[in-house]
Amino acid sequence: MNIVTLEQLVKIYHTRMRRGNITALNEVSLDIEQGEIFGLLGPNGAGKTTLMKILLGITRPTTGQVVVMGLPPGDAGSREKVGYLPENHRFPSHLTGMGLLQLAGRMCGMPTSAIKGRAEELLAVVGMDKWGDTKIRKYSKGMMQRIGLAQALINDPDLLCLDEPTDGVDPVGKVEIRQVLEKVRAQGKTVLLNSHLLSEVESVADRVAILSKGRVKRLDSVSNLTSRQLEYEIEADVGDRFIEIPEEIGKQIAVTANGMRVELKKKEGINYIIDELRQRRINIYSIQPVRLSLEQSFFELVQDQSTPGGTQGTGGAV
Amino acid sequence: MRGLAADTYRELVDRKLLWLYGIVTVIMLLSVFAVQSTVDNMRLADAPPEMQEQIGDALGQYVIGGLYWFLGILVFLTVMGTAGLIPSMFSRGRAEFYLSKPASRTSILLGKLAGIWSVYGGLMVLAGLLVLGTMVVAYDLFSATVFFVFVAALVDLFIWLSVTGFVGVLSGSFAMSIMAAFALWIIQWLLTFREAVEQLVDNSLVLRVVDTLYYMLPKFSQLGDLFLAMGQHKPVDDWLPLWSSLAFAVVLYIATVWLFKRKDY
Ligand SMILES: Nc1ncnc2c1ncn2[C@@H]1O[C@H](COP(=O)(O)OP(=O)(O)O)[C@@H](O)[C@H]1O
Ligand SMILES: [Mg+2]
Repeated sequence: MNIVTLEQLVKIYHTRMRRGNITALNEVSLDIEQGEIFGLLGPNGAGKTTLMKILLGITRPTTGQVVVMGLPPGDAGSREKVGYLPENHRFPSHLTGMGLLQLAGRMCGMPTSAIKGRAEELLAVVGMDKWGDTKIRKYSKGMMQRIGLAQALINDPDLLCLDEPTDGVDPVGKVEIRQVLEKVRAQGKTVLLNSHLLSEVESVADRVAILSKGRVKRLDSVSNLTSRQLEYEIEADVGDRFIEIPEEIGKQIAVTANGMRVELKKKEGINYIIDELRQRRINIYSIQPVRLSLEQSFFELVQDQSTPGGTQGTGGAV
Repeated sequence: MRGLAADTYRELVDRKLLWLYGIVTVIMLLSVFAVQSTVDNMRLADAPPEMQEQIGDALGQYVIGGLYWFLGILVFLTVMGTAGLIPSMFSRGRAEFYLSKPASRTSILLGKLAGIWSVYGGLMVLAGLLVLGTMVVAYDLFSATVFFVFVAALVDLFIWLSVTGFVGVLSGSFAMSIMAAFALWIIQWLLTFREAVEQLVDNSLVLRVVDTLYYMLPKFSQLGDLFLAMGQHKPVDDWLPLWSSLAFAVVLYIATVWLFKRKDY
């Protein structure tokens, strides 16, 4: 079942300044399925925040179809079971953490009797149980993110939208936030995660859409995005010997500390390599497909598509 | 909209504005006591009963007038003090919090405006009651029609909020809301001299513009006179200031909601 469906979504901001119109999203089509953690990845200005705000009805699409939980975002009912942690939020500073959760609960239509207990539970979940009675304006950036996550969870949402959730959070906090996400996923909930931090998305997301200049450059599972086609790392007692490989099979591209790295034309070619090595009585310890980190994969994607010289800065912003 | 009135109350408690209300109220209470002996002296103990009654009436009108003046100051304070609330609620980073909740934009906006009107209006009424109660005790005078003065203050606030709310949503700026409120106040004050203008100028276009503005815009001064007259048992012969001012506010509220529903945040 799709929790979110986007078809040909376009968002053009009309600015009063001479910069003219900004196309923040350009024909974006994607689905988010129930129960997955979906990562939206892209450099600053790619359109991630705009996309999320459109799902929540905070910003209106210029053209295109948007369906969230079976309803258009203009319908308040589509947000009934949605939680949102905005980017660069400034929650009402006259409230305490507890006050914020209570307001959020009331605005979500929760019964008053249920709100307090739920709020206390969530304060504990995000590690803020000692800070519930402190005014938000006294919170540090990391505490703001934690309380933001708690308010997003107040109505036990089926879809959790997080925009740069670990922004300003210390390493311990990052791990804790990830644990909360895993817990949410274990309950069968769906998470949409915006981030410009690749490692973060890589470690939790099931599928990733790479967004650049308002377009989806690639949409795939993290494992597919990071596996480099037909490149293998072979751990073996090769020493610094060079193994002859016929051109139609592939080639040895490097000698590494523990063995060598080969690039093959076809998957089956690995058998030829194994036969060759075993014939020479070389011990083989392991064979592994070479994986890129999402970061490398992302750099390559963004650079592939950019015109020479023009947008080098885009990749650098990541 | 649930929760927004309570939120507005918490916001108020958090603000220094509350002190200003307190100071103004204390000054008013002190002046009530300051003129107490004067009031006592006016009551000629050995005057005949009819004269006693006349003096009582005159004093009653002073009391109502004084209270009206006091509430006018509070309305002014409140308009200035609340002009920034809508822009602040829908500022960047904060609008996202409120708008992501499962409530329609109409109910969020009207809920906040109703919250402001009731919380700040309630505060004005409370301060007014405190002053009235003190006057009743100090001067030994009371007339139920004095409550028209409270109605006047609440109606005034209702109209002013339509203006600062509209400009607040339109511009998202606190300064613009305040400036619009000032501008409107000055224009409507100038328009009270409309009859003098009509005698001096005989350019029909100018006259038409002046007339149109007069009928369109809220008429706070006349509105005040109208309620004051009701408070002082005087007949009201022209209800136009009341209904045209209310119509102005209602149209502006509708326009504000219309605008708000179409805005990107
Ligand atoms: N309210 C706005 N008005 C005009 N332009 C905007 C607005 N919000 C975002 N943009 C522009 O839209 C593009 C996408 O921004 P955003 O969605 O914030 O990207 P990201 O979250 O990926 O960093 C940027 O070029 C940004 O400048
Ligand atoms: Mg962003």
